[in-house]
Amino acid sequence: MVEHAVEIEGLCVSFPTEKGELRAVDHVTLSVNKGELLGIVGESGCGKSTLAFSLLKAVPPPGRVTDGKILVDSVDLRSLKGESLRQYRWRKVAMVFQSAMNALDPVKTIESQMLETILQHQQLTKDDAKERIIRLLSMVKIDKQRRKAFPHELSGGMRQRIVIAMALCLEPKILIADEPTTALDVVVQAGILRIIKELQKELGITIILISHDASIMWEVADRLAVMYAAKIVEVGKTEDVVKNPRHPYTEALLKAVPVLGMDEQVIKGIPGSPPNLITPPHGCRFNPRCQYAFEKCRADEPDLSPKNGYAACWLRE
Amino acid sequence: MTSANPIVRLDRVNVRFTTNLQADEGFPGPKRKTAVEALRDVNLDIQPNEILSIVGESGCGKTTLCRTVVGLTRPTSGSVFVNNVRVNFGKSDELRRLWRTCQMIFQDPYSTFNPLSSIFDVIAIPLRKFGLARTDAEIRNQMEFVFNQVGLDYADLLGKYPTQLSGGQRQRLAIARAVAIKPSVIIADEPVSMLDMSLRAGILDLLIELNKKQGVTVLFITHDIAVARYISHRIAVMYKGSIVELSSAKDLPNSPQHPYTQLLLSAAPRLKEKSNWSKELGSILRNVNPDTVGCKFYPRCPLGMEVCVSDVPTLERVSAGHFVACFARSKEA
Repeated sequence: MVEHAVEIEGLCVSFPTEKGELRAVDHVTLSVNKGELLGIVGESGCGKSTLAFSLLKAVPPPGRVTDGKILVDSVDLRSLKGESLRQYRWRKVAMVFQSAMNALDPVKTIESQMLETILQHQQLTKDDAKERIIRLLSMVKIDKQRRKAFPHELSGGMRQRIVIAMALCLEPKILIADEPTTALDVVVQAGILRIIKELQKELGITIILISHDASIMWEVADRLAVMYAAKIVEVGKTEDVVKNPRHPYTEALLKAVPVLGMDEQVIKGIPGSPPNLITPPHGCRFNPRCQYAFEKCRADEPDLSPKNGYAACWLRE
Repeated sequence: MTSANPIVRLDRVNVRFTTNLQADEGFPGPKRKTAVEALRDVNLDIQPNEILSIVGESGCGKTTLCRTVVGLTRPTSGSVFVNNVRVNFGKSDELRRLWRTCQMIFQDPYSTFNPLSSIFDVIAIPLRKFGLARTDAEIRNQMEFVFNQVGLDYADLLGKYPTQLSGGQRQRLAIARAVAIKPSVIIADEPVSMLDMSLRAGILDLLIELNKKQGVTVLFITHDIAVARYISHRIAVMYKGSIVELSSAKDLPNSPQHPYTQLLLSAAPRLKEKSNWSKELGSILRNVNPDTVGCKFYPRCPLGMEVCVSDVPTLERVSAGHFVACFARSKEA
């Protein structure tokens, strides 16, 4: 029996807007195994980041969780308030934010920012905390001399690695990395992904890696969840999902990007554009863009279940 | 690399940006001026009807190269020729003639339009300026034609403003604006980097089609070598302001010669096969000393030799149509 680090059941997160309720996460059920690296892939606006925020119980208002529950190490997030929530955030689950380039305080050195985080939360002497900082920096391959630097003195890739080190300050069990490589070029991206993979192995932590780019997942993710229009449409082992995608959206997404190592590859865009989440399409949300869509797809919405092998598609039933 | 009649030619182009970084009182350190060599002795010929990609990491000078071609950045030395006419910086009538042949698509579709211009004006202004349409009816005709071409819904968009468009639509509008006056050269600076994965293929195919059907020459900038491989005929790899390798797009991924190209290829994500990712992480992330005199790649290079410290390698031919700027490679040959 695999132990779950995170169990999400029927989670719904809504944002009220002038035009109506926007459901950014819609009945998402997903579990993350202990010690695995789970990749979540989806296009912008599909709800990936909102899902990540709800794991920290930090959905930005006016958004709120309207239904469902999240269990982290069997603790129901709904029960956390005040001090218990403070103990949970960053100690249990930490996050590398999407805009990591701007996530650092410009007027403090790296060391003083990290020191502040550690000393605010844990009873450690300053010397012990400094030792931990040096250890964390070496984990992300940053020279310990650089701890005295200000953020503007560091390159984008280094800042990104510092932000990862900051997330690890309180030795969390679960790390969420939201688009950690988006603004970086390929060489730096490869380096950061390797660091994330090493952290998973060395520290034995559970990592949730979120990206719009499916091609980076192949090297690092143990399992892959594909998200489309606020729903998870396919979950499986990375190898299975990439080599043998079962949901038409996954298939189309993998065909849409040129990738090296596939000679004479024909790439094909997905017609149309991602749906408006205030008034999502009737039936399966992908049906207006799906080349296989038939009548049932326009009428009923498929669910993710063992019956369809965790690909929410009527073709698989 | 010389050929009969390149449509765009860069001849020993250097661009040097100096910053007046003067330490203010109260801040430590001496006053100093820093200079960035954005382009170093760049020689490049772009042939008519080809798609040439420039690949490199951020800050390697790709965008500066584009800007020198359309006359937005003045080279510190060297010259740029478009259609055998020297680009004359700062002369507005000459620049206008240049822009008639050479149009640029900028990187960020969210800041490329004047938010106060309607979508009609976005297309109408260049058409009027170049005397390609006089009446509104003529403009509408041509607009409908280009919108069809780039896959925008003409009837739906006519009265709208750029802020009402999605990212994919904006990028298409930016292409429509560039294409509307039927230029012979399009310079596309990372036109897909801001777009969702599912929309990228459409833009790439659109550029390929313009090239095939109308013979438009495309200078395509990207940091993604897989995209370059897909779209272009030739690829130039840039590193710290210099072109370090130039080859046909077919050969480059299979027989990269320059160690930087090899690094780029090994770092590029792949599907369905394991890449040789086991490369030393250190060399990938090593910080580079910007003051190197010789080859700029030397601090990260596994092949580094003595000569690389003092001398700058130039592009040398290694096989037909394949040029590399690396001492280790030219010694072998």
